[in-house]
Amino acid sequence: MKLIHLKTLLFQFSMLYRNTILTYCFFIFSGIQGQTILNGFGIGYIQPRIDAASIGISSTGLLPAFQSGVSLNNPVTWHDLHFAYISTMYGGNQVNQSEDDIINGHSALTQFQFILPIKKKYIFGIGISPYASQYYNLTGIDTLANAKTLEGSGGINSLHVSFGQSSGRKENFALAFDFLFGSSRMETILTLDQTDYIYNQRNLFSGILAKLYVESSRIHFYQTPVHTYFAIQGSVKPLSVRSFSYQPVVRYGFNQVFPNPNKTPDPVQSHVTNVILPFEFQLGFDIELKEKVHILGEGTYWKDGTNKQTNFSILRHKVVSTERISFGIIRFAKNYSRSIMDFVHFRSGIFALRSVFDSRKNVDERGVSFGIGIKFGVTNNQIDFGYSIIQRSGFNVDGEIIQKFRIGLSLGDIWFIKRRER
Amino acid sequence: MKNLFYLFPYLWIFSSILFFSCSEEPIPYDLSDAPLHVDSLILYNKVSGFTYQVPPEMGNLDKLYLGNDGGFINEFILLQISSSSYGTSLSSLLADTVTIDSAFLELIFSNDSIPNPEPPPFQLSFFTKNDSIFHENDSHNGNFSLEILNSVIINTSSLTEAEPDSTEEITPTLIFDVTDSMRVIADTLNSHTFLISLVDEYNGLIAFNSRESNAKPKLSVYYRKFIPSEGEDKDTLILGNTFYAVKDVSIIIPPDTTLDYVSNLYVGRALGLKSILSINLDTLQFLPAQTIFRTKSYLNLPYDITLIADKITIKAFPLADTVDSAGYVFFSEGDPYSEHSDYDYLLETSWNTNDGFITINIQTLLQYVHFGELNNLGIKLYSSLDNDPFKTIHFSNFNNEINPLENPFISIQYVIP
Repeated sequence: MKLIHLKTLLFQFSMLYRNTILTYCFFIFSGIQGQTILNGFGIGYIQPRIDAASIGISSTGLLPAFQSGVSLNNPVTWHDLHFAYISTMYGGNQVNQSEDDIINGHSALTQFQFILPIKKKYIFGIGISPYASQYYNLTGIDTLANAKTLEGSGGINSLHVSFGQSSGRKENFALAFDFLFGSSRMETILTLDQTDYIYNQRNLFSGILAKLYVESSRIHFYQTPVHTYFAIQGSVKPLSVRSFSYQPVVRYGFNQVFPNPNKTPDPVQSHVTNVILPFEFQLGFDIELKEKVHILGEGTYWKDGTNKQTNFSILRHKVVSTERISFGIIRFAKNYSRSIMDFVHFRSGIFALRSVFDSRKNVDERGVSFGIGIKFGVTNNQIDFGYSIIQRSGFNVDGEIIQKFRIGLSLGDIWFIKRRER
Repeated sequence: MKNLFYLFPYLWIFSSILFFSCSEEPIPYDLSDAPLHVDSLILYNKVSGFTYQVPPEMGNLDKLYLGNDGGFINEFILLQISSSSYGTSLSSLLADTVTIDSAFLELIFSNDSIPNPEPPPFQLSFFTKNDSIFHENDSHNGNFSLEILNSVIINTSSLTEAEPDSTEEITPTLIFDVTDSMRVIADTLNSHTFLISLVDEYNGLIAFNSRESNAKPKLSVYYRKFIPSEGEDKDTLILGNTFYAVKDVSIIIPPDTTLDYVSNLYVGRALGLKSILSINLDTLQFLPAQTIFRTKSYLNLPYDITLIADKITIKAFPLADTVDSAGYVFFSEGDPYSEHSDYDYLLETSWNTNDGFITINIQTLLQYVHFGELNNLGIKLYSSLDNDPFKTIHFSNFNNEINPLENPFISIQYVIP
């Protein structure tokens, strides 16, 4: 009996179930951020693309935490990779609101990425990950003491494509595009006299962001090279949202609604462009203190350049700028050692983040993080674990404790090697 | 390792299903700014109307009436029985093999006892024309004439009340013996239609259960049927069959009325009074397009509580066509104003004796007019079939602006996104 190659089987499987897989990926990516009130503002909680290695040093992915000189989310660092990598992250978080004694948790697939260094000269990468989450479930009363609940789900995802070319000098450059897409659904239920009034909205997002990465090894600090990293991001096609506002209905009993759906007008559509005009600037450094021991630091400034009100959002207000700073320390694994501990990367870091709302009020986050990475196999495969604990307080948020984790699995393979024909 | 390179993304996806977990506890939050806000609106001097009159509409009631009462003259009852029953046609009783032993037409009295003074005898006539004699919904004193129809008197009878065997309730019954006329009744050349009237005038209302009730008028026939056999003898079957009424109506003559049709509106089935309300809903255009109206949206109509003590059910339907009249008119040919028969547009009415208002729930009207699904051509009011048809309800304080608070008004509650 002829044995079918496993790769062929998988290819056929992926073709057969590609729609199912894509749909599944869409949903699992869109809700990684466990529900918090912050998900209800603006386009939702914008989350940096943090891999399991980066979370260990509280980095947003700019700094090389995966391996020495390499960050999975900074394409300018991929020139030094010896292997092509396919990498996925699984993660989640738990939000503990101490005031109301409420604990919410969520976990899902958070990132999928393929990295291809070509003869140490060119790099190409493609991946998918969540960009903003609108996952929340709020309950409360309005000014007339009527009970209301708000539920949101979905969010914005990013298909990111990266290119780069080694300059052969002390600076390297890479360019990454984030193709933003996704949808969110919002349901508001107002309960009056034990009757539910239900209002549904749906938003479809699209936009393109571009990010330029620069790496420089020109600076030295007392003979020690200081690797510096810059990144600047802006909009190529500003994020736009097509909103669908459905006719509110009254629900009687189990499934009886008024008005008759057959006599209900089509949803009201609106198209808002320039929903956000993000501008981001990042600066980071990486210093090798001694062999395999690095200290790293990173600063990020993000600003929304539009003054538009988020009328597609279910809650008023939105974040207009953020400032983030983090520091970390890593002891990278050694390449050749018999000690099992030398196969492990150890990481730790701290960060502080301030999010400024259009109401000029802030939400502050402070966190510490830890992580390890374990190398295995001849192609430098690696499994990473990262954990972070964060305290968040400020505008509409009171004493949230957030615990985040990421598990990453990255497998390497050799591409573009000429093989002798048999 | 190479295989693992391609396999593991799939394993990863499916393993995430296994470990996927979430908890969703609602987070308390001040939701004053969130969508869906309830609000209300009261509109005065937006309702006008007029009453019009049609011939009495006595079809489809659960009673049939005779006698003179309250100025109404209940002339006679028309009754058509079914031409078949349980697979047996009336005409099959004409066969040579059938011998009719007895036949009775029976109407059940609607009260428990025979009225006092006892009504005069009842007369049963039969129409000997093949054509349809009457229409249950459309026949009335204005378009039904006995003079042009051939009818023959079959029999007379009086109300009887059997002696109860025990504690059972015995209802007075009017039974006509029609045995001798069965061959005429069963003949296919006639319409199986009877006329029941009083021999003499009677001052009082006599009501029988109609076909819409549980005790329908019926023709009971008892007969023998001979079945030929191979031998000399014949087999005989003794059979009985009941033929129920399929149409019935009371033909009545309403009294002349002198009502104030200017400031009052009236609804009454026996008088043929109906009303049209016009509601100015221009205010709705100022509400958001996706407004949803609550069930607590009412048209409040003041009524004269001194004239009506009992509850009356009013039917209210949006009009399907434009009304070209604005005052009292008598339409001798019947109701010219058609209404929407769509169940979605039914307006529920309720009787509120505490504050002297009858309220009509206009949620559906407001909603579908706001959507543009329904044209606001007005509302037709008429008396429900469940009411005493001889009662008339007076809606007062129409078409004057002297005291708006006592006039009809609209109270609306709505929710906007």
